[in-house]
Amino acid sequence: MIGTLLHYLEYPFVRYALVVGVLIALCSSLLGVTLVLKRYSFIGNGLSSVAFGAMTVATVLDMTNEMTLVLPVTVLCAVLLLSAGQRAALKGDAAVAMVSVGALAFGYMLMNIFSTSSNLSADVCSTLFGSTSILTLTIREVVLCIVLSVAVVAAFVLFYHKIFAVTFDESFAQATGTNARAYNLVIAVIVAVIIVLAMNLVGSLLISALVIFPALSAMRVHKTFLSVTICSAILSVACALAGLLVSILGGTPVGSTIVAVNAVAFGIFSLIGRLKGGVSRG
Amino acid sequence: MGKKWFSLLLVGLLTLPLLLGCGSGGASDVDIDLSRMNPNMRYAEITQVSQDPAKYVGKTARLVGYFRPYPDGDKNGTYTTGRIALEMPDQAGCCAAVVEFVLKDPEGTKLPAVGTEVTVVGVLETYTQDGIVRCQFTDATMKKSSH
Repeated sequence: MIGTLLHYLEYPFVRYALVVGVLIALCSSLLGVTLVLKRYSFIGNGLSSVAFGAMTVATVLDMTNEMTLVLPVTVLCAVLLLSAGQRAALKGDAAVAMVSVGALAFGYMLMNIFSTSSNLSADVCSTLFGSTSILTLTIREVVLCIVLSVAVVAAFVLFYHKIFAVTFDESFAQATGTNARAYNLVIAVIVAVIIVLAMNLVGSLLISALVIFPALSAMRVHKTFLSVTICSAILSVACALAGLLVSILGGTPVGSTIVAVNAVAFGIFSLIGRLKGGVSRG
Repeated sequence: MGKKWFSLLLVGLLTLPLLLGCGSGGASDVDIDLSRMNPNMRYAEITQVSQDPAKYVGKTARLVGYFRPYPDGDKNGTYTTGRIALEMPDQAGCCAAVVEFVLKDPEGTKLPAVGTEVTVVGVLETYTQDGIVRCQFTDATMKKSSH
């Protein structure tokens, strides 16, 4: 098995997949804690559906770089859902659900009507479930992922205390002079970037798992925001790495394997949390 | 202590793929041997080749996939140009790459039934058609896969 792994690691696309997978897992776990605590666990699915819809539009328009459309549209929707959501007529889960199914249906319809590909089912399968997307990355996509990941981690570290304040008590943060609206905007932009990045790894239907599982697992055994965030980051990276290696060696689908590893980790952490006795509920 | 261990673990996990990448997977008689890979990895590698064929020109490859007559060929299972196609799907059959081969000995090569799993060895070349650079494997030999 080690021999097979070493043989596979000689191929650049395998190394690209491991590097990108680890970076995406790290980024997605950072804001997972905030999203779970703000009761926005399902926003990953909503935004990934938006990204799917935008991607179909970019495909129909035959754009050479889909990211130039997908990223701004996803950021805009994230801002509308997360930042303006509190004052909007449609709030929280209702807005997320509406955007999610609406964008998914719209995107699939567009792909059917204006399909430029001879293999529509493969395109849909690949976008929704990741399929082998992570194994077919170009060096340009890898560099873009590294740049965006560094930006996400830097923004999180830079605004850590403000994100912490806005996560736990937005009203109190506002009262003490924190521009909660601006920081909600920062969170929304970071979330959108993570979602667009993660589509390559697990596909748009499985992104929520990447955001939620590590945070929820970490919450089973840790109690402070910092310790949960650190544990979540380590766990997410470890699960992504394990999932990637299993799928590379076993030929299983990358996205669902990573999510399955995360689910197993959640079970183990729940057990540890019960044994320890003090479980914080996310 | 927590931060120190976290940093060490993170650095270790990030550098592991690069360190392991220095190993050798054993010798092969061809430059690119996809017969030792699972379908997902075969699909991923052939996608890399088609994305940047210039990088692989002149290299010999052993590919595994399903025999298809080339679209120009006779639909009865025979062919006239000595050109065949190899369909290489991923594990789930969700995505597939189709590769062109020009047989070394068209007359002497017995064609299998459409959809038979075959192993083909050929040398990569590129050609331009309608302004698009395409790749094909020439000087190819084909045999039924043994497994």
